[in-house]
Amino acid sequence: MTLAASQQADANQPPLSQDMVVKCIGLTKVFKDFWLRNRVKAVNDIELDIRKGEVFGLLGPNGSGKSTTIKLILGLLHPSAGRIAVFGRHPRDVKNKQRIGYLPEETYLYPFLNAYETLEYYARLFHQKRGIRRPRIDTLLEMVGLQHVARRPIGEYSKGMQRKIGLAQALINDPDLLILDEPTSGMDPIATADVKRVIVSLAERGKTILLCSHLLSDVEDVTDRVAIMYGGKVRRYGQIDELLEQQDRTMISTPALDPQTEERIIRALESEGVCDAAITRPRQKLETLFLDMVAEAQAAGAATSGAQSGGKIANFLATGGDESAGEGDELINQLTTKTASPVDTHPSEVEHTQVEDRAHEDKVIDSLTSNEAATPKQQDTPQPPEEQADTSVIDSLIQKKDPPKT
Amino acid sequence: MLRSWKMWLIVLLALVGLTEGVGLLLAAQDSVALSGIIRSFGRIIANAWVIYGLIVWREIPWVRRFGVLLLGTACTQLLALVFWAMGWTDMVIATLGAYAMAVIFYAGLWLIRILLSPGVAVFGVARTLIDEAIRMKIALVFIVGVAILIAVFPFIIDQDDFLKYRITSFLTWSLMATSALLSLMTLFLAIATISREQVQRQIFLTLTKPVNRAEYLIGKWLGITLLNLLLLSVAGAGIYSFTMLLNGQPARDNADRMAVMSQVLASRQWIEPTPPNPGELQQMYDALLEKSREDDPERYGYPDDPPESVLPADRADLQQKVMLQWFSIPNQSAKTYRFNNLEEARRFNQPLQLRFKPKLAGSSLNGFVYIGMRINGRIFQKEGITTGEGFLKLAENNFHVIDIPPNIIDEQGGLSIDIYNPTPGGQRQPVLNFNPKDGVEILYRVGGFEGNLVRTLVVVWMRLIFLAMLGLAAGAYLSFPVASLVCMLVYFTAAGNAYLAESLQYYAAFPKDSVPFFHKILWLIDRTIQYVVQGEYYDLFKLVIKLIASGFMLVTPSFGELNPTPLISDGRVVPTDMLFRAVVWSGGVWTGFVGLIGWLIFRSRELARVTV
Repeated sequence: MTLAASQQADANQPPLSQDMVVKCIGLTKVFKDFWLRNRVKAVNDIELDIRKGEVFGLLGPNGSGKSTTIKLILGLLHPSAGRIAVFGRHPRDVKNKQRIGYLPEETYLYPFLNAYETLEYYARLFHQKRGIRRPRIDTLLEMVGLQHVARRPIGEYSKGMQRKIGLAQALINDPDLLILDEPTSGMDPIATADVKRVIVSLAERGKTILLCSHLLSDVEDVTDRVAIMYGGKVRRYGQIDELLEQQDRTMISTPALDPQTEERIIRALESEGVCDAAITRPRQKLETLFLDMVAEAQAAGAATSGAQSGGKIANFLATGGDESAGEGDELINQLTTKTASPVDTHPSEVEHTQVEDRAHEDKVIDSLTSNEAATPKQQDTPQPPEEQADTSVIDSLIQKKDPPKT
Repeated sequence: MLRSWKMWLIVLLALVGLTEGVGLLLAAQDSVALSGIIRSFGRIIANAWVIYGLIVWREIPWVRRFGVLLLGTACTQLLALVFWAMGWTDMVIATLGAYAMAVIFYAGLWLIRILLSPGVAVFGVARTLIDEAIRMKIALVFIVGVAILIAVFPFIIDQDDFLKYRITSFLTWSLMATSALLSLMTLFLAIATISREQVQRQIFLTLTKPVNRAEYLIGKWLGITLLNLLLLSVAGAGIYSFTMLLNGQPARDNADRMAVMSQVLASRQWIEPTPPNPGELQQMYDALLEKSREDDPERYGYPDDPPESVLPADRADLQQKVMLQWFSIPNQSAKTYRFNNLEEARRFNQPLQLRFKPKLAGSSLNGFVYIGMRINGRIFQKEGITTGEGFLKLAENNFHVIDIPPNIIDEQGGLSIDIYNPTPGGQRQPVLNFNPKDGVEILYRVGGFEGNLVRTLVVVWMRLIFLAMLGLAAGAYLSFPVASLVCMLVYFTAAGNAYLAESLQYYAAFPKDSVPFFHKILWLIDRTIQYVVQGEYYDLFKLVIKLIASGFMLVTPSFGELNPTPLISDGRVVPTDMLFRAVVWSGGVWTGFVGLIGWLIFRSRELARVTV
């Protein structure tokens, strides 16, 4: 489909609802060879929409059409068939570009510019005056932890550092739609955690994020909805919780139990006809272990010549362009910090929480190994809702006095 | 970080102020020795402090610039000192001249960056292009080449030659080198910047910002244009400086010195001669055509054929013969050459210069030519070259310049010059000839060298403006090697347009311009069939080549007509007409046309397209 035909088709499509940022209808892209013969159908009749304020994950193996779809959204490619609207307009409409930030899968920066000049260049493309762009650049460099190498040419950066600058340029205009193609590629776990923190924070502030990645654990942590592509088609599409929930298993979490108690629980479950029950020690994520180690080293003041951990979220992103500090910014940072952040959290708070957790865990263990009912934990911080385990069955299995509830 | 470099600066100023102040106080109290010690000590500490600061704060932009300037100055001084110690005075001057050009370039670059600092997308693209040109060294090679050549040229010219010719040679070579190197740099930079960004995909990040493709192209073009303006300014300053340096050197004699002032470092208008009788040349042509038809009717046609039936090549040949005939004076004959439109010369009240180059169609008399001359009816004689018989004795086949006072111009604003081919001392002299192009002409001063140099550089700049857009348009669609070849083809065609047009005229037969287009098509078909039937494939090949070449030349500008270098080297004014045509046609129409095509191709291009 030519550009003109695409624009004409776009003019006929119904307007998007205000909540819809991107809408694709029957989107198809076929790549041709030198002789203009159709060769590869990279995107095949996909339908998807991205809503305002959500984090949308686009997943798929290599060659599934993810990057092609993103390039269609950005107007770098013309669709062969179908329609696509971004903010209700054609993807190549210049007005759209003012509201979009894009981080491609490889960071295509000018090697002869340093970080500061790179951000200045892109800020100029957004017609930002000097009084706005310079403070913003300083803030972004601090946010991605590259303020101390800001005057070094990009060509001398490592890949991870280049990705950070790529992320900074994607945020320079405080975009409403942020498109991230493999944002954590080449980054160490600290930087990866920082990026995820940024994504979550931005989503909480009403930004729409389209995240494309191979690193499934990263996507799982931050997205609201996902589309999984294969062979140019969307194979799975929906809320991530709905897609990932296993309906055929139940998991019960308790504090550490002694072997005898574990054995009794297994025997009790087997007597109820549960054949493949197993009790294992849960594993924390390697990312958590890594970040804890780094936090300890930073607390001890160990020197490093590498990139530093990023700073807090830039204020202009927090307040939608207003450079004044937003209230509650610190609180938001604390709320969105999932792992122990070496910069923001106070050791005494972590210790206090951990002490409380251990006390509660002790109580649960006691309740399992004795006849006392466990008291519900008093939560200081909100936790994801859990289904309450039916302790009556367990109670009855290990000879509790109260009859089982039906 | 900012606070710290400011502290460094404050400490430096305090150090200098303190030591100099104390030194001056002590000197005022007659403690000269102590004053000298303190001031010397203070300077050493201050220099060390400066070097320390330049190293530590080298990442601050202005500190880096200052450091580069300081380092450059120190290295240049050291080099100059070495050359001076070895007795190479010329190299000292060349080194200092090249350094001065580099400093002007550096300062100009900083000014351009300030000019492009506002938050406008086009300015952002332009500024990044300038950074690319300098830091990626695409342009740097050419820039250094221009600077070195201009600095070295004055000293490789034959030092024993007349000063006039040395300055003329320097102007010719330096302007040619500047124009050629900058043209190549412009093409390669324009092609590389846009084709490379598409291959390396930096264009993805640019064009996903609120920049439309026209702004992107204009930004690139603006960056190259400003860079060229800066480079031409630097080259112009260098050419002017070294020209004045040469002018300061001793001339061979007074005549040489006068020639430099009036014929080289001047801006002169020239007037070509016309016959006193306007129809004289036409009558000569008709007579020649008649005779040619008698001798060769196959080629020139029969007596009853209309004059328009003569082929263009044959017509041009006859015209040339007529001109040669008119500029030939048989022995004991005279010709009158009329120069009109000299009112302006009278207004300027500057001496006129009659410039001519007499040649003999045979053996000369000891290498000299004798001519008799009258100007507006008055016999002209000049001390030193006038013989006893009243003839001018001049070296054969050399240009001679005779000054004529402006008050001789007649009331019609013209001069009539009668040239007579005598028999000096009773000896018969062969036919006297002058070159039709510049054999006889009148020149008069209309301005100075400086203004002429500026006009020359503006014409060159217009050419570079067009080449920049050509490179961008080609690079927007073609790969770097292919785009380079296409642009080189266009460039060399444009530069050699006049020569190519003349060559094509004789290369293969073709109907003259006055023949209607439909008749030309019929002629083409008929001739093609004839060549095929007769097996004259080479003639057919030549005809095809002529058609392709002629068509290609139609869509390329003609740089040959807009070449100011020969004019300024010869002390002739770069006419306003040339300047106007350069600005309007090269800088305006052709640039706009090529830019429009480039934009139309680029705007619909899929930047992320993959050919599988």
